[in-house]
Amino acid sequence: MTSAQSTSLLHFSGHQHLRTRLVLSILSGKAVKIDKIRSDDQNPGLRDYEVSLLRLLERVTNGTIIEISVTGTAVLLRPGVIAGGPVTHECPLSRSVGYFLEPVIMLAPFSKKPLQLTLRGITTDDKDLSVDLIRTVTLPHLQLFGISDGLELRIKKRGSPPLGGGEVQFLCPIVKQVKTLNFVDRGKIKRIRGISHAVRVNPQFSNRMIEAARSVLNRYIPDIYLYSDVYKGEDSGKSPGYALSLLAESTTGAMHCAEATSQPGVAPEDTALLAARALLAEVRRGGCVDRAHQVLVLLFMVLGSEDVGRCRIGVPTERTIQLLRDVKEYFGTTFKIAPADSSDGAEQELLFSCYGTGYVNTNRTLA
Amino acid sequence: AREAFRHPVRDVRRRDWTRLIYLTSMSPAQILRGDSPFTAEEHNEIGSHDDENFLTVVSSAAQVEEVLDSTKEVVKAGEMKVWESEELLDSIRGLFITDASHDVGSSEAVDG
Repeated sequence: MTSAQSTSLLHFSGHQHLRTRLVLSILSGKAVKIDKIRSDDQNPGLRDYEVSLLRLLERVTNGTIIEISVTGTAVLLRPGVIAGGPVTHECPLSRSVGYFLEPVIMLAPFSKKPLQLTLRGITTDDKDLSVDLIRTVTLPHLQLFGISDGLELRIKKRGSPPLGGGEVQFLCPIVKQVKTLNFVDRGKIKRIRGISHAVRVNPQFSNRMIEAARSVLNRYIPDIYLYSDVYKGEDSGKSPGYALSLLAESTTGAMHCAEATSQPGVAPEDTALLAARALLAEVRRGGCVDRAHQVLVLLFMVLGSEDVGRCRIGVPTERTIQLLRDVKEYFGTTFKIAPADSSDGAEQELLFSCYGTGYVNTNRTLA
Repeated sequence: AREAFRHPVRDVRRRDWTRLIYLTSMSPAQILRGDSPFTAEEHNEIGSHDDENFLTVVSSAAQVEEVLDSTKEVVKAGEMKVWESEELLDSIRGLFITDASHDVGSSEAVDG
């Protein structure tokens, strides 16, 4: 399969799963029409962040045609080629840069030129993956598929809600084809890493979060390194805030992550305890991939070379289930899902396997 | 506490996930809740039939709490309270490399 395929039109309804459906459209080369977007809502149609995402996708591609209905309740996307190159985008303050980065990460390796994307806005909030987790967990997942050299996320300025003021730069190399994944051994957790950051608040908040998180995590392993990251002056954005992002890495490279962000009236210690306990819950769910990265990994398995890819995953999320259905619509690929043995304290795990489409980045050869 | 924390899907191993995902019209939420395919499809059919004949009253609560397209799973402080239990904390020791030796006493030296 190549990156620019047939011109058939797929049809979906509702605002849910918009990002993955747009990504699948661009990757498959199939046009998509999505209607009934909040048509029953008091405030119908696309939200500002969804329109902003469409504009961003228009910028990272070349020849993409996007049509939005007058009421904003329907959108038609006819995909062009993924162009890459230097792109700068101002994200609205209604969603953090993570919302915009996630779909771009799925597209960028298949660009014509390496992508150099600068995003400005909120860098950490309670809705989307923070830039810290994207840098330390999401990007290493791409290495499983052979995407590594030159892959980088630079956090230049932090920006907390509501006013943001953060800036990140995402650099992504291009590949001809992604590798087949065979990741069935979850291993055992060997280390925990974390980033505790605080902006425009007492820098001690960061250390208080680290101490509180360690009070929960120290019982398990000695290899715990929680880094205190305090930004000052212009680099700290426009609003005060703090957060703790944690990741647990296993002996086989499986990663599980969790984070908690500052909330009004909640002490830094309680924020840290929430993050630490959420990490333990995530580890307990088992699998070689955590819930936040199921969609990314399964999508890249579909794009893998023409061989059987396997991955051990915990119970799928709603997003994952819908992705599996949408992938069947776009690529005709279905997964075989079988129970996996888990007798060491993890919850139930499943073995996902599929035959890769052998997706080739033809944009690259056009350069 | 362990029982209280159990995932809503109790019989994950026994379920035919491939069939539920690809061969039924159940919504992802219905699949994860553990609804039976028959009940769910019957419910969906009744729902679509109603839509054709009657006006649907949309509750204001549903309008206020929109489900966001978000990768990060919401972590609720209330749900994490179960992790105050020593029994539950001990139940996952097998997932860490220190399980065999139980050698966690020297953790202080590695702090950042």
